[in-house]
Amino acid sequence: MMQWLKQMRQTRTPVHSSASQQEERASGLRISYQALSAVQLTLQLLLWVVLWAYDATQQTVWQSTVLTAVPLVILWLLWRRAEAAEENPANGWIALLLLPCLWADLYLMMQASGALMYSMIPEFPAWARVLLLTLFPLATLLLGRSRGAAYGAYTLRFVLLGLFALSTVLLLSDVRVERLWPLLGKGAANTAFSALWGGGAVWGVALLFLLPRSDRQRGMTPAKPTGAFFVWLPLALCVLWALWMAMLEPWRPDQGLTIGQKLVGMSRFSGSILIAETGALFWMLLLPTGMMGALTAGNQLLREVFPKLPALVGALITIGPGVVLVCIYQTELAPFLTDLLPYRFALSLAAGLLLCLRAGKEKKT
Amino acid sequence: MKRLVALLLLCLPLLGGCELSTMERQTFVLCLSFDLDEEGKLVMGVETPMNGSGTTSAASPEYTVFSATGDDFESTLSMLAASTPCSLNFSQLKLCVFSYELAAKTDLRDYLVKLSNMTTMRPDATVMIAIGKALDVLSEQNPDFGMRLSTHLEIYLERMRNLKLSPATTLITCVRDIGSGRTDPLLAICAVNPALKPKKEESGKASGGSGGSSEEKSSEASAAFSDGEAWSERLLVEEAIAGMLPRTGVNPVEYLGSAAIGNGRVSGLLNVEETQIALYAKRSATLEVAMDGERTQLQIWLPTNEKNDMGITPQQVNDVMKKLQSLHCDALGFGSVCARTVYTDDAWRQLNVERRYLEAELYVSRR
Repeated sequence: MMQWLKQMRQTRTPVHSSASQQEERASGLRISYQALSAVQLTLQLLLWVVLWAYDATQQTVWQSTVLTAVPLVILWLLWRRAEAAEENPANGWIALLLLPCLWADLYLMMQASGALMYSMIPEFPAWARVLLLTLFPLATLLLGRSRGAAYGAYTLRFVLLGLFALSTVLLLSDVRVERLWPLLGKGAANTAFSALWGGGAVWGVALLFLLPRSDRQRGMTPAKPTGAFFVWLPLALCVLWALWMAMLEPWRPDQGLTIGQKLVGMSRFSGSILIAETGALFWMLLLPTGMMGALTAGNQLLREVFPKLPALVGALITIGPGVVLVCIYQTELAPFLTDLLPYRFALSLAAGLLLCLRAGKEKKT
Repeated sequence: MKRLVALLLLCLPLLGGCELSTMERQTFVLCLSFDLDEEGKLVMGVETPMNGSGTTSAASPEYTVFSATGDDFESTLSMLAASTPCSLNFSQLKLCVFSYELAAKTDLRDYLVKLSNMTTMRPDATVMIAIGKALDVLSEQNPDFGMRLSTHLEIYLERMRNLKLSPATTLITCVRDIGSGRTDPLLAICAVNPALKPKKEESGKASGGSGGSSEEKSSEASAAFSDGEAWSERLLVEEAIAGMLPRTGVNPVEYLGSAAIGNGRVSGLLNVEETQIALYAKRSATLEVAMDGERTQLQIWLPTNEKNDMGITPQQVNDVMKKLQSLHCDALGFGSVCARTVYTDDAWRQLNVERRYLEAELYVSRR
């Protein structure tokens, strides 16, 4: 197992010189970081669909998810344009604008994990849940390899995709296309407004560019431009999830389900109890991977601006607000969070625009 | 050193085991029943295996049934939980039975939502309606061939579903479909065959089928709601239905036929033949709706492949559909089909699909 994991860090194709070996390693590392960012993006979109979008739109939730392609494309094009400025370490402070987004994401993931644990094992003490959700990511970050989160996400890619398939297309449930009608649901405006809300979930496109670059600062060779695959795959997966929810109608908004019940809401309709349990397994793997991604991103962005900052302090700054909120709101989300989450898009947009302006100035000089 | 610390931290999740509950200290509920007593109070019953029974190949598993009475769901469940030393665990639930009287008087969805939201509740438990007392069904169930009750129920119900003698409706699908406006589920029915009940049973215990006491008949006859049909003996049709099969056997409980749900409550019964026809139409027919002002026509197009249709004719489907219409049960899902004729939820609500369904003309043919 360890040998196999070590081989993940080696080259993927035969190499004939140290330069090509270095290039291959850089390529592998870049893809691993992009996989980690794609997991983060997918997770935020899925949480938005499951916790908010479905209740607001029901059978038109898939249309709302498709419409989030608009803010996604805007951010992707912007951050592609800003790639040149990202190479300059002096611009690292601009990325700190994304720290509140990471705080919100981490809190959301911690609360979802805690709620899932509570729904499966109500006897699990609240203090143990908080301790577990805090210490596990911190310990993994501090005790693991420096790029462990990225390589781990890349290693788990097929497992996560397989579990995703078992939670949707292979669920063996009675999905019916006629449940998609009436096609406009509560109205086109309602669907579009919900998509606007979902724009906050796509802010993580920025990490697709920032994470590989921040590691690249430590002497790696220049990486190739970020492709579109890791941008469109998360959206495609979430549209598929939303479509399955719309065709299954797993719950009604007035049913008052908890977060943990909503996360496994679709799996409860499986014709096989075994497949039904894999729904919980999917979230149990995806949420910790996403948490590690957010923690790694926060730590790296902070240490890029403050190189002498200890890793522990960087991690604590990133996870701290989430821990405090989880202690206060133990099983349900903080009431103000729903209103704040859409502004993540604005922060990502602002950071991207600033970097674009910097890139323009640097080009002139 | 890092590995040692990591290993110690891996023990962190074990903190959740502070209040560990071993399997021997839990009551695994296999069957759940809901009845109304003479005073209209809720009676909740559970059937569980006796702890330690069935562990040897020679011994037959033994089961115990106990119940509690209360004013509402929550208080009855609390009393039930308090009447056993072990906590109730519903992760192995196979059957959830409601008596006809309760199901005809009450909005079933309320109970089903509360059940489905309970911790450890198994979402794919089968929901059934008992002709007579649901608690009697639990008491009289006797697995065939020395099987465990869970295996017996699993095999039996699956076979009934495959042969289309009984619909497949689980707890979670009932929660979704009842009151959704898209379709009304058909629930399987069960009953104790009075001819097969053990003679040692004392009188006064309610039985299924036509053998009930006069007090039970009058109390059941008083079960009525505005849109459905009150329970009475004339609901029992001459053809095969649970509780009336001419047979012998160890297990007096039968699972045949279906109950129609209308307006969230049980509104009538279908015998085996009618159930088969309804399930065949639900599976194989193409549905269309034609509207002209207030006039509505429901069109059911059966496939022309003679090999697959079990010899069911359009006239038979028409007769069953008329019966379902009279019971306010949209078993085939015309509500969903009507949704295709409009673009928004508001327009769908304005169509008043429920009223249109009752007044619609039926047209059944092949193509």
